[in-house]
Amino acid sequence: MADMTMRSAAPLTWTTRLRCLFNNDTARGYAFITPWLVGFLLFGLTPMLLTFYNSFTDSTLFKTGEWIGFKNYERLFTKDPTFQIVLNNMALYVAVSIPLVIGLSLFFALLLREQFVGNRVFRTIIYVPSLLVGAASAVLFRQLFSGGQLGLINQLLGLVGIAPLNWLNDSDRLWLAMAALIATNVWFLGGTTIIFLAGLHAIPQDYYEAARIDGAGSWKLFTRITLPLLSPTLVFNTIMVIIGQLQAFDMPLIFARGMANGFSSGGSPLGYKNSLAMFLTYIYERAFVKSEMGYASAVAVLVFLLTLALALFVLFTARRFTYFGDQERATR
Amino acid sequence: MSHYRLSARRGAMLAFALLLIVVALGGAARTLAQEPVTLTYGWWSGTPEANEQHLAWLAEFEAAHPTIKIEAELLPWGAYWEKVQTTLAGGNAYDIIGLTSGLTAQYMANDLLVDLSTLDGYADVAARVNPDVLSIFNWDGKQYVMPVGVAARSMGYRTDLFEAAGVELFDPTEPLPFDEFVARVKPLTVFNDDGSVKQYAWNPNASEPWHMFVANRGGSFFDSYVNPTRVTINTPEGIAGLRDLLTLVEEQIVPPWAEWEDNQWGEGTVVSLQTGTVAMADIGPWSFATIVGENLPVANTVYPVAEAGQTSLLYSGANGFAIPNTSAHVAEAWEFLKWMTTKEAQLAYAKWSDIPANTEAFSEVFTTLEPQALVGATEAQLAGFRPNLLTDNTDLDTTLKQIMRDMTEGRLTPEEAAAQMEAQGNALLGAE
Amino acid sequence: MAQMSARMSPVSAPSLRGWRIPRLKGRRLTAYIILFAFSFLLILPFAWLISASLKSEADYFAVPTTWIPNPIMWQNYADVLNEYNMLTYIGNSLWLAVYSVVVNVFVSSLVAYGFARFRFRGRNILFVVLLATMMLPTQVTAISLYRTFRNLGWIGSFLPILVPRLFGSAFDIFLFRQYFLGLPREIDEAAKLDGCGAWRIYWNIILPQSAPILVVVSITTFLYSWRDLWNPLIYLSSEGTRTVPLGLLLFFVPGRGTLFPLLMAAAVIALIPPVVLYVVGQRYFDRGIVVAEVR
Repeated sequence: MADMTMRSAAPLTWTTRLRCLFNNDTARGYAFITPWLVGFLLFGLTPMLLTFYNSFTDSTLFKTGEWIGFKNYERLFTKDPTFQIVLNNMALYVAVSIPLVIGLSLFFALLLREQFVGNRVFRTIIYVPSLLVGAASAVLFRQLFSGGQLGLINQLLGLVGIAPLNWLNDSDRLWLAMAALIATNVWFLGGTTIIFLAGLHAIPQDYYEAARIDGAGSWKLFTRITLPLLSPTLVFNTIMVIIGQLQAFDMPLIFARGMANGFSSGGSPLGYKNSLAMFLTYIYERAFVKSEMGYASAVAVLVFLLTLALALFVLFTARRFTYFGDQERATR
Repeated sequence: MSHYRLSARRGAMLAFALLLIVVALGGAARTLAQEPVTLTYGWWSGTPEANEQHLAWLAEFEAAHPTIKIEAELLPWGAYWEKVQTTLAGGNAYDIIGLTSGLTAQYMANDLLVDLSTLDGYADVAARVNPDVLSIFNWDGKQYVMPVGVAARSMGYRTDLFEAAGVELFDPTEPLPFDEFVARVKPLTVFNDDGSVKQYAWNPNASEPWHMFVANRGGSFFDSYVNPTRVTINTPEGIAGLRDLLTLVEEQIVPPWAEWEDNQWGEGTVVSLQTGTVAMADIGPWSFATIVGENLPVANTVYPVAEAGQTSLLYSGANGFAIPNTSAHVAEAWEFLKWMTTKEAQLAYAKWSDIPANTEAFSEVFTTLEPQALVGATEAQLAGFRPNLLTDNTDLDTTLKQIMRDMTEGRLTPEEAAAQMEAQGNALLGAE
Repeated sequence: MAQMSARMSPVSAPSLRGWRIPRLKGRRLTAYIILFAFSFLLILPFAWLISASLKSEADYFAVPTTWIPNPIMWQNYADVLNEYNMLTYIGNSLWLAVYSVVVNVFVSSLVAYGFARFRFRGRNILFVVLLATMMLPTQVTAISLYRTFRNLGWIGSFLPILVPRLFGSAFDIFLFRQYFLGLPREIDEAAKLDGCGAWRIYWNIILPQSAPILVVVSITTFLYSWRDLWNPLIYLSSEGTRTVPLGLLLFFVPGRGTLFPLLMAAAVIALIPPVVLYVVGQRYFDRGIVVAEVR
């Protein structure tokens, strides 16, 4: 590619140099990623560095505080019983919902790849919950898991003779709230599913035909062609689902707070007896309800490192099994 | 090949172009200078009619002060508080911030608002306002907020549901002793054939009546409701008040705690009355228009007391205006605060919102408020006004409520609950 | 094998053939049963949403839930449109969303192309940085970002909402990059032999092969903007620039209570633009890539 442009080099030395500068992969690569890089340096970097700094201070929401070293982190692991509950909740939530979301959306994407009547209708149905605007989805999902005979899930259970459950507010069975939270994921598979579907559509059909001529069965087609060729998408979806689940925020907050005042006030953002405490709602509670920005930043940094570690783990694991169209493995 | 050279540059050129756009747009945004002074103003949004009246009220101020313009933003409740908090933290808050007492402690405790008592003519302004209401916003000796109105709640009830249950209607201004109240309203809880409840007598979600029960019995939850330093519920009087709450739950006059908190019976406001599944719930002047507009058969009364002859108490809040420290127009904003405490401005304010904080307007508004049938109880209830809890210790209220809930669900006796509240509450307040 | 081929090839199967009942057997039948059962669960809240949007307030709270409203309150929709300026909010949200889609699809795919197809020093580190930008919870960065825009004097203008879009979004860059990595490199090589430069390969070869992902990114970007409550709330302040998510919150009226049926009606109206976009987008979605055409 580079040599081709060289041929058209202008006579002036400085322009030639300049052009040479732009005629290799490094220059081109940087030219293409410049928009993002500029945006990151202008608006992304400062808030990030500031958060890291804040996590070592006793800053409040309103004032920058003093440097206190690792005290916030120490407190987080040794003196904060609520954070222990957060960790337990998150472990359960993440362990169940990540495989659930990935598995189900891949399953539906494979089904929807086939042509059949009603295909597009179903693709719409699976995505519609994700199209709802916040306030509506808050009311809808509170309604779905409302206690008593008002709740839709309870009405369904009533059809098979199960007494109404108090999903979000049960005094004895605190885990019901977490179960409801995990279940809501079922309504939000749409995004992940259509990304899988897009990935499936990018697999050239002639690969399958060639394999079929060689006598491959459908399981073999899946493991030898679909899965390897889908792996970039799989990597993407896995990482995004990890981020999305570790950083679940809207739904736990909606479930934790009553609807009387809309969204902002009233009720703990962590749910009855912290039954819905998640990483992000905990950060929110610390930063905005209790004004402890320094401490909230420490939790945020921890969540950041954990998310990054998991994402890198996925990237590096995938490197071994991934096929990329450009046969290039350097990135992973 | 020439088209190729062109395209090779394009990537880099594009990046520069984007940068230029950013810089250019940034320059353009800065060249907005105003003349005369424009004040930004924030409040929460009510019904469309109330918002219109609100803006008309501000226009009255502008007419009287030609050099000041007000740029008002009336945001939905939840969103408004997000914005107030973010802009105060970000140093760019409204010049005039509308605040409600329950959500103000954080800003007072962090000293983010101008101490109004340091401004010119403060004494005259303060003299116009009901001193009890003024004291709600006095924190560490600083007057951070100037009250504009009082949330004059009272007990609303559906007369048709009372008649259907054969329950005698209440006298609007004469509070019932607690035991008599319980006996009277018990038939208002109606059951389905399967034993489940079809209609509850009372939804206490909005009124949080335990504060008044405890006070009726002669106790108090806190040493002071504004910026408390100790929880003081563990007394015989406090325990007696908690037992009243327990009685309401046990007699099924109110729904189980989890159900009202979950809004299964409306929100404890006029909405609960509209559903027809609750006979009694909180109303206030802000819901009068709904009651008239939808022709709801609603009357009101004062909350019960412990013994005959006591004054019925109202633990409630107030709304007001503050000026942030970062405002560039403190003097002009102060002009507005001065104006809005005048009798005329307060009477106009009462038309779309609460009962005014101005003492003269306060008594006059009751003669004009519509519907007059609901005024007697509202006025009588306000005579027992006491401030709601105001603390920047946000865990305190949640913790106490969880303990009370445990009690209503039979896990704690009132005595144990009182002891737990005092122990856990004082630990939170650092009062041990 | 013949049946398999029809299943696997989205371009060739004539969809009308599915109408014939005899085809409904074995795996296909199982698939239908699963999809129907699942659809029912997914639709349940929406059936309720539409039903609630047509109810009176008393009807809304009735226990047990009535599914057919009585009376049917079409008036709710009229009220939402006339008294609550829903159309203005939709207009505002719409142009912001369309702007976001146009700018973001272009910029993000451009950046992703840079990450996917060029080997350059620092690429891997920068890519991890790109991923990392998605991982720091925004709750702790929001205030300092707000202060940045305040220092720039941009508060009260559209700039804090419009300008960050010019730099692409990490989510979409990552998504595009993964997709581009999956595209066979032969298609670029062929173009290169024909004398195409980097820009033309991106514009004339890569993008046309990326219909499904372009549709996906368009939809997700549209949604991101359409559902964004925070940025318009914090950075804009006039009634005339209010967007849909904020408009829906107007139905929570303090003291008066939540106007649930009106809120539900507004929510149904707010669903229309993204649903239309999604349904239209699907028409382009099925154009999978066919390598043979490129070769």
